[in-house]
Parts: sequence; structure tokens; C-alpha cells
Amino acid sequence: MVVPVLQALINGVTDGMLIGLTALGISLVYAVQRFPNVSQGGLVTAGAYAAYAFGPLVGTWYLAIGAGVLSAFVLGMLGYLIVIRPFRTAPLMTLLIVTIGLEFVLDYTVSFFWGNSLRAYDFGVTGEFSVGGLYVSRVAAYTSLVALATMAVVATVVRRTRIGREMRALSDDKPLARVARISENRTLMLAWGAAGALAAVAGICYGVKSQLSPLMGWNLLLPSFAAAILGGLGSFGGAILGGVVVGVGMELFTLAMPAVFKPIFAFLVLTLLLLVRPQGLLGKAVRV
Amino acid sequence: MTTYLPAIATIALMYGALGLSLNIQVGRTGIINFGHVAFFGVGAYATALLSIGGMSLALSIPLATALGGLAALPLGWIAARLTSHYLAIVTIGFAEALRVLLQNLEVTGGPGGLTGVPRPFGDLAPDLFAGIWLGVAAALLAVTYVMSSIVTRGLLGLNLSSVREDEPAAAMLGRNVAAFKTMVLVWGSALAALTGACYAHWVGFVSAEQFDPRVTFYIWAGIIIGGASHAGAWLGAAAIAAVFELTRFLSDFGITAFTDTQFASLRWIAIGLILIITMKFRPEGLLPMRSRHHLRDDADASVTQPAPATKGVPVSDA
Repeated sequence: MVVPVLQALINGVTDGMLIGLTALGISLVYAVQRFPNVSQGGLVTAGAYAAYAFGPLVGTWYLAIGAGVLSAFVLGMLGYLIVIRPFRTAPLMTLLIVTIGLEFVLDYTVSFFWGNSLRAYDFGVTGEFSVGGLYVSRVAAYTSLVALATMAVVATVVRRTRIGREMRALSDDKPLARVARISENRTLMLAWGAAGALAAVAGICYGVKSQLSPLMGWNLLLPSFAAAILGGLGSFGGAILGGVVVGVGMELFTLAMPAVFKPIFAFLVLTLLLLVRPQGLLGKAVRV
Repeated sequence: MTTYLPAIATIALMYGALGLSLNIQVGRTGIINFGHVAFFGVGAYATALLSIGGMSLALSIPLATALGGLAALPLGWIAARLTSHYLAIVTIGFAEALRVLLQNLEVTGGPGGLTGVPRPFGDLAPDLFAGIWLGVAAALLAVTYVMSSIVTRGLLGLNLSSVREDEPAAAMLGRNVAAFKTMVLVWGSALAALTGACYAHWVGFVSAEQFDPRVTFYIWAGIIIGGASHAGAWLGAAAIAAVFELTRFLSDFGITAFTDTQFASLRWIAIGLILIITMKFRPEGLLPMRSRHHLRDDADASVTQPAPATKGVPVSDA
């Protein structure tokens, strides 16, 4: 009994890291713009396929990943400039509908060019580490390390750099940030770029771990929203913690129920949380 | 293609009915329901299971309709406790959870769905069958129209509008906002279930793929482009469905630049663009209601931006 539970914990943590990365992108945009960004899933898919497309062009896998992340960064900024910026002062609901539209455009542009069949990267990472009857695949270990490193980078950028300070200022008090001559437009654009880059890292890790499909980002959305809300929308550490908790929860859930019912668990967590503790584990008080 | 025209018209009319039942929630009451298609699915599966079990359609279709309404009760309870954008996320999660459930339970036939759902008039000549069902779909649309009008006219309709326009004010004036929201969610979902039940008996099988949560946004695109009036809602949803069904036959006209999968992708890209572009240039739709405020969620805006009376008082972020 102990071994399956521990194994589920390990699988849950490695899955949860990727959910946490997606949730981190959602939280980042929420922090500066105060709305739940549904198009994060589309950015995940687009980033993952961008790296896939660059693979044969640039030859080596790390260049392909770099090119994929960079193009998702640009895509995030373009998404903000073209689609989101005209709605900056629009009501929340309009933004929600518009980002759903953006999600469809991104997802189905991918499926237009690459079709709906599953694809896989060819990075040649196989095998697994084993300790005392517990297994963790090399892929899961590496992607978790990448996720941790990415989170560290985000934490450093947010805490130590000028743009991070500006994002925090805008998140804390918009009118005051304006008085301090922080360019809202530029900060939001960079936040969207960062959300795109985060999405690409999550998508590529997910693709390396399992497979690429045009629906991968959409399917990550539900657990990621559960994670972002669990951690407290707008809280960066909370998003990651929330991701790990949701990931572990879904794995433990599969000990009792068939794995196909995982999304139901995510839905229940999401709904119960919103009703019981909308501010999440680490979040500031919010009204829902 | 001409042999398919009645079928396309039938689908369009059914989408029109779904547009009406969604519009009383979205356009008239300001409830953001992204899970509408789930209730269509509840109706279809319920009548399929009951009628395969031997129940007569005269009983199974009303039961399916009632079940669809009951399934919306929990959402009504949640709607009373969350502001609209969080409710929106919950509704889409609800639709996804329901799809996963229907697709994987043994009793609902698993991924294959249920076949052999009784098809009334199924042994008639195909042309006659198509014609009769076109009539049934038109009757369904008419029934839905009447049922939708019932809740949006008179005092009840004004109450629903008050919830949409300014929820705190409606509550302050003694309106039971939670009850109105629950009622309109249950009513609209029951109507969607009725459409689902008719659909199941028309095509003769049900599968969870017919109720993918994304299909809801077909209807959304329809009512957003159409506007919040009843005519706008059904015409918009029916037009989107008709145009999209017709694009399946483009290859008959020698347009073979894209494969079927690519056409399917293009349809979804079009849905995305319709959502974005309509919200930018005509958020009230082509046929709005004759009132000053429309689909734009003003109730929500009043929560996020301090009302004049509360200026200077810090308002927590919604």
C-alpha cells in the first residue's frame, strides 16, 4: 500500500510541476491585468508546436527549444498588442470571451497546419531512475528540473529586475503605478510575453513527457485554473504550490478511480475552492 | 448536396433553439454560462437510455427535459455564490466533467456512445423522413421561442433585466437575485435538454463527442453576433450552424485546397475570430434588444470599477 501511494506522490509532483508552470502564466497575467486568461492553453500548444517545427530546421534539440520559447514570447506579446490591447478597459466578461476566441484561433491554427494526430519530439531521452521499488522516468525528472529552474528565473525576474518591480507595482496599485510613470502598456506586453514563454516551457516539457496534440493546452487549462485558484490568483509561489497539490491530488485520485476521471477531480477541486476559500492558499483576500 | 439541405436546415433550427435557451441566461440575465451544451447532452443521453430501455418517447422526452433542468440546480446554487467570471470557469469545468463522465461510464456506452436510439418515422422514405423532421425542428424552435418569451416578458423579464444591469441594486430593492439566477439556469437548461432529446431521436445515436464543451462556443458565437433579442439569438445561432454545415460541401464545388480536417480547423478559427471581432466592433450584436444595455456585462463592470457613490472607498478586486 505504501509503495503505490509514494509512487503516486512522485508522479503527481512531476505532473504538478507542469500544471504549476501553466498556472504561473495564468497568475502572471492575472496579477497585472486582473482577469483569468483562457488563452494560456493556446499559448502552451503553440509554444510546443513551434519547438516541434523548429526541430528539423535548427538541427539540435536545445536550439529548437530555445527557438520555440522565443517564438512563444513573441507570440504572447503579439497576442497582447493585436487582440488584448484594444480591450484593455473593457469589462472582465468581454476579456474572458475574447481570450476564449484567441484560444480557439491558436489551437486550431496549430491543428490546421499539423493535423490532429499525436506527435512526439525526438530528443532521445529514455530510461528511468529507480530507488527501492519506486520509479521516476528520466523525462519526468528532467522536465521537473527544467520547471524548477524556470520558476527560479521567474522569481528572480519578478523580485530583482526593473520590469519585475514594475509588474508588482501595477499589480499592487494601478493608479499609483501610473503616477510613478510606469508604462502600463509596455509592462502588460512584457507580462504577456513572459506568459507565452512560460506556456512554451510547459508545453515542451509536456510534449517531451507524453505527446503533442492540438488539444494539449486546452486539456491543461482545467487543472491549471484549479492550481492557480488554489494558490491564490496572482500569487506566483502559490501557482506552483497549487500545481503540485493538484497534480498529487489527481494521482492519488487515480488510486481509487480510473485515470480517465482525472478532469472530474480537477473540476471538483476548482468548484469547492471557489466556494470555500476563493483567496487560495497563499492569496490575498479576493471577492468572487 | 441538395439531398442534405433539409438535414442542414434541421440542424440549423436546432442550433437556433439552443441559441434561444442560452440567450435567456446570457443576454437577458447576464449569467455567463459556458457549459450550455452539457445540458443538451443530458437531454440526449437521458432520452436515449430511457427509450432504449423500452419507455415510450411521449414519456422519455419530457423526463429528459426535466432531468436537464434538475442537472442545472447545482449550477444555480453556485451562481448565487460566485461573481460571473468565476462562474464562467465553473460552468466550462462542469461541461468538461460531464463529458468525461458520459464518455467513460459503462451505462452510457463508454466512448462509443449509445446506438439504436429509436428513430420515429425512420422506416419512411428518406425524403419524407427529412421533411417530417424539418417540421419537428421548426416546431421545437417555436416551442423554445414561446418558452423563452414566457420568462423574459412582463415583471419576470424586468426582474431578470435588473439582475443583468445592476445586481447589487436589484438585491437592495428586495429582488431575490439567487432565485432568479437559479430559475433561469434551470429553465434554459431544460429547454436545451429538450433540444438534445429531439436531436438524439433524429440521428438515432448519442456519443459524448457531440457534446464537447467547445460546441457551446458555436452557440455563443451565434448569439453574440445575433444580439440579445430573441430573433437575434436564434437567427444568429441558426445562421452560424447553417453556414458551417454548408462548408462541408465546398469540395463538391471544386474547392479542394484544404482537407476536411483543415476545414474543421478553419471553422473553429472563424469562431474565434467572430468572438474577438464582434466584441470589438459590435458587442451588442446585429439585432440587440431595444434597450440601452446589451451583452456587455455592465453588472460586472460596476463591481470592478467603483461606482460614483463609493469613490474614494477602496474596492477589493473582483
